[in-house]
Amino acid sequence: MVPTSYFIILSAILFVLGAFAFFVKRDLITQFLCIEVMLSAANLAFIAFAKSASSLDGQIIVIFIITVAAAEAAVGLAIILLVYRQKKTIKSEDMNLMKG
Amino acid sequence: MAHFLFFLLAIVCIGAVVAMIFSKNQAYNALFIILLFVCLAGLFGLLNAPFIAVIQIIVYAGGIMVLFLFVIMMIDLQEGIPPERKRWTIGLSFLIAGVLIIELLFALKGFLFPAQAATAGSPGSPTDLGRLLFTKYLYPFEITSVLIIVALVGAMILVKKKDSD
Amino acid sequence: MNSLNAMFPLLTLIVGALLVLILEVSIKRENKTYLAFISIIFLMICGFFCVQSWGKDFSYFNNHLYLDNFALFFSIVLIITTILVTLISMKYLSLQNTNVGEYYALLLLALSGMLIMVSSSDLIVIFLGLEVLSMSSYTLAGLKRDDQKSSEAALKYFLLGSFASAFLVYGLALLYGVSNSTSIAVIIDHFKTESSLSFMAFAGLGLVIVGFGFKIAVVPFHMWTPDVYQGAPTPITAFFSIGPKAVGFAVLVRLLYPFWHVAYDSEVIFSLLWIISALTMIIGNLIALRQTNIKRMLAYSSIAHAGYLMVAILSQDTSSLMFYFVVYLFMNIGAFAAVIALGKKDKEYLELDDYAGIGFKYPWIGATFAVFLFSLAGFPPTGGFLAKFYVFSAAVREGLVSLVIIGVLASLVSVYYYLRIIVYMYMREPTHEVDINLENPALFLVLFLCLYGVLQLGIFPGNILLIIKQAVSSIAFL
Repeated sequence: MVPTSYFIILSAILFVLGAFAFFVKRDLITQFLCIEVMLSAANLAFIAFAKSASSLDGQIIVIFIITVAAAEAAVGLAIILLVYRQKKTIKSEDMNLMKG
Repeated sequence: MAHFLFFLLAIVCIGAVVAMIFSKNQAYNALFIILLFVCLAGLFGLLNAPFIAVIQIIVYAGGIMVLFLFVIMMIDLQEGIPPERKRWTIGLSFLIAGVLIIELLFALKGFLFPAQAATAGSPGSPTDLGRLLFTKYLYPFEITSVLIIVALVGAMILVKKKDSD
Repeated sequence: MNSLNAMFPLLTLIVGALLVLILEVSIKRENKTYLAFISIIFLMICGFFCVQSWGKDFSYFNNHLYLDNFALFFSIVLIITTILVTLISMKYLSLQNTNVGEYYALLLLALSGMLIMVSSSDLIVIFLGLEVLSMSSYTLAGLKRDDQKSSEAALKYFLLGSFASAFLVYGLALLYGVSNSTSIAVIIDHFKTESSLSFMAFAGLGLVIVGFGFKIAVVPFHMWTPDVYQGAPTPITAFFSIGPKAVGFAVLVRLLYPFWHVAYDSEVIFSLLWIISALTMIIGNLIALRQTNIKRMLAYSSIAHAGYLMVAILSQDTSSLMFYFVVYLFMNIGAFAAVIALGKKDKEYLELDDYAGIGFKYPWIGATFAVFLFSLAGFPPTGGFLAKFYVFSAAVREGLVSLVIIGVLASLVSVYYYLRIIVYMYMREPTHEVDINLENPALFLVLFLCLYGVLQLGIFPGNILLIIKQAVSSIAFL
């Protein structure tokens, strides 16, 4: 069997890569995708821990997190569309109306 | 076998995220993330969570990511796909197809080798999850319904045209 | 039956929100204000149920729903906040051409998310409540759909908010891995059994604190705050400056207080929070000095206030934290109400120059605004003075003298930018014509109520302190 720690390490790598990409990428949709990557990394960790403890709680929590991700996608993409209609761009450096 | 699958899926997962970091095209980015989600579903399968693996593919890869792609199409940034990237797509499609085949074989494992088939009593079966969801986790489950109402209302108000109300 | 009783506050809010959503369709555009009255009625019923459960310590659904007096106290504070915000929104929405009925429904839903958070001792439920709150907040921030700033505010709030949620979720995953549970009580019990915290437990707790740090806007997780506060519709800014902060701090109290007593390595987390608190007070106040937009200035001021509240968390004095919140609620909503009062059709006056001479042209608005600013700066006899006094004296008792010195110096700095507005209002010649719409009874009611609250709490705080005592004594850390 593959040890649980392998899965945790993989999830940590994915989480860090996602957070890193969030800062590197310059367009809103990809930044949003990075957040989804981070959430999935958490999902993987939950399921791996659930298996090592042989309980189902972790799997239930993942169902909730997937629901949250779906809700976030709906609202988030609506906001991105709203911004795109006004500015005709989704580059994050163009979001600079307010300063100080 | 499990080790081999784990390392294969793990490498594809990390590769997909790294590819997303280097790619400039949003549609590709979304496809890379779909690849990531499909591989994660495979890993969930390795971790005795078949039901979550199915949900991952149906809801995440099938629902959420299609929404993403849909919005990317609507936004239509007029950059187009640069021609030199075309062979990339071929490579990518082979990769995805390969992973999908492994995925399918993996899903069919129970069918091909009936001895290992998941029975209703095995951990992670929909029966157990459902029972837990409606007993111990009833309250959070009800809260998700509020969450979905909020998301629905929110998305609708933000996107609808001003004059239509 | 009892469990239904414990659900009543939440159910009332959700029924109210659904009713508003249904009626919204059939009500004509100019009559949308009626929806505000409906939602206020439901808020009052909800408050009634909260008061009724006082002292009963309901606990249901495996402690997923846990209504102790502490939770009820915060619920009532948040309900009052929402009522006041609804009142100041009524005229504002039609003046600013944002007259959507869903606004009130989303406010109710945001409140329900906050009630879920304060009345639970399970981190997964808290997370779901936080998401209900966040989703409605993102939408509310972007409701002025033809205003680019508002959309940009929604976008920034959404991106950084869900980034923070991802940290929170990953922290939860690590804590779950350490203790096999998401219940705060079980996690703390697990810490008790170990001689030192594992790296995973540390990382998990750290990530959870970072996630909440974004929501309560402490430095260095405050980057989104000024832009979001400036771009969002003004009543919503008032709501953001209180609601999410209150629930964030309530959750931190539940999570950290038992933690201080058990964990061997709690000093590391303690000193990290010490640094965050000091930085928040210093940076919040210093950047506020050079703001000329009033909303932006109040945003930095609210960051600074989060720093003072962190001092209360560090000195483990829940009653001063709760008293601070009650005062902060009245003075901050009051200040924002005064800002909203200076507006007319499709125009808000938000720059410092607009305030020149206001004190003489609109003496009542000027005078009440001045009182709120004095209170925010911490002058006696207003509530703001007592609130700061309680927080800092509790910190001195706990031996956090250097932090208190930083806090007092920072609030001395803050006097400058609060008084600058008053100087503009009373000692500058107006540079341009500022005419405002005065037919706004609900807003003046709020101004009056907040004025009363700030002075009452500053001069006779006895009653509220008694209630807070009851609430604190009942916090059972399960």
